[in-house]
Amino acid sequence: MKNNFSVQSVDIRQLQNTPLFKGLPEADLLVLLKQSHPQQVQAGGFFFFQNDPTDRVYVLILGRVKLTQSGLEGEQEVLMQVIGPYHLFGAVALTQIPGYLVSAQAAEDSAAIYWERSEMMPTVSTNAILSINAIQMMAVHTQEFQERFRQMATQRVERRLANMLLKLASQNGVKTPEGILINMPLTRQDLAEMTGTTLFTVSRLLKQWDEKGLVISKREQVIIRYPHGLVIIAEDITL
Amino acid sequence: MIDTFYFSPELTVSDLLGQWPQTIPVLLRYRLDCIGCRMASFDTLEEVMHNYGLAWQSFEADLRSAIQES
Repeated sequence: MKNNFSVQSVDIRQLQNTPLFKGLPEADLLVLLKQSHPQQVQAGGFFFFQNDPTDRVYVLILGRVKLTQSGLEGEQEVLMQVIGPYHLFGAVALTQIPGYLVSAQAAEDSAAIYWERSEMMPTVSTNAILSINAIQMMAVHTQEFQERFRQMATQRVERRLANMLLKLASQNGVKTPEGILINMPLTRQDLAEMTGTTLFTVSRLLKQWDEKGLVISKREQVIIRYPHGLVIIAEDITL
Repeated sequence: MIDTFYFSPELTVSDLLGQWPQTIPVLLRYRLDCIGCRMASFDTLEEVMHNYGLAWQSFEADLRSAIQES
């Protein structure tokens, strides 16, 4: 765990690519950065819990954060999103919504910077670029979740799982000699929570696909060996 | 950056489409699913040949004529 993480550790050039800050003049971003506060959370720890008051908006700098949502009945959690470096989380703190919609758990040792709602809101509401970017972010988010909802409602689980693996690979994929490695810790439980199915079904499907040479499925890692084969399943292509 | 019309089999689909969008109709004519494919930035033309059972020479010739005619 880095003992010397501070606001100075942040790479301003990468911060300029964070969707909320796109197009913001560097001088303005530097002022904002100086107002931020560092926070480190060890693997397994939480930045915030679902329903906690929405006090802070975060940008992850190091590590990886899982955003999960529970219903009221203690049923299986849903893994909404995995956040990587220089992406925002806790963005509901920019809205009137009083409680976080998800819990934010560090999947690895993580470090983030945050702004208190009281610090960030005046800036966002008076800065046209930040306001437009915030709207854009929410629209992209809605688009993704509408698509996932549509898939959940209309597609068999094989297609949903194949689609999720392809999406993760297109966002976090690294080409290796064995195939396209999804470059983040990814358990079968995570996949079950992201696609609305059970661990049993995910294990069964990954084992089948591994045997067919489509994927290499290890305990916390998935490599797509034959992307085209997975695309055929995901898009239900009849040959 | 490849600025000649010779296509390497190691070129990725997304690089091909990004640098030479005139080749899109060729991919459509061959009924390839590359347009909008999430794996376009990873899969190379060689892998596409293999996936679809195509012959490189005729495919590459069709790509080149799409550029020359544009």
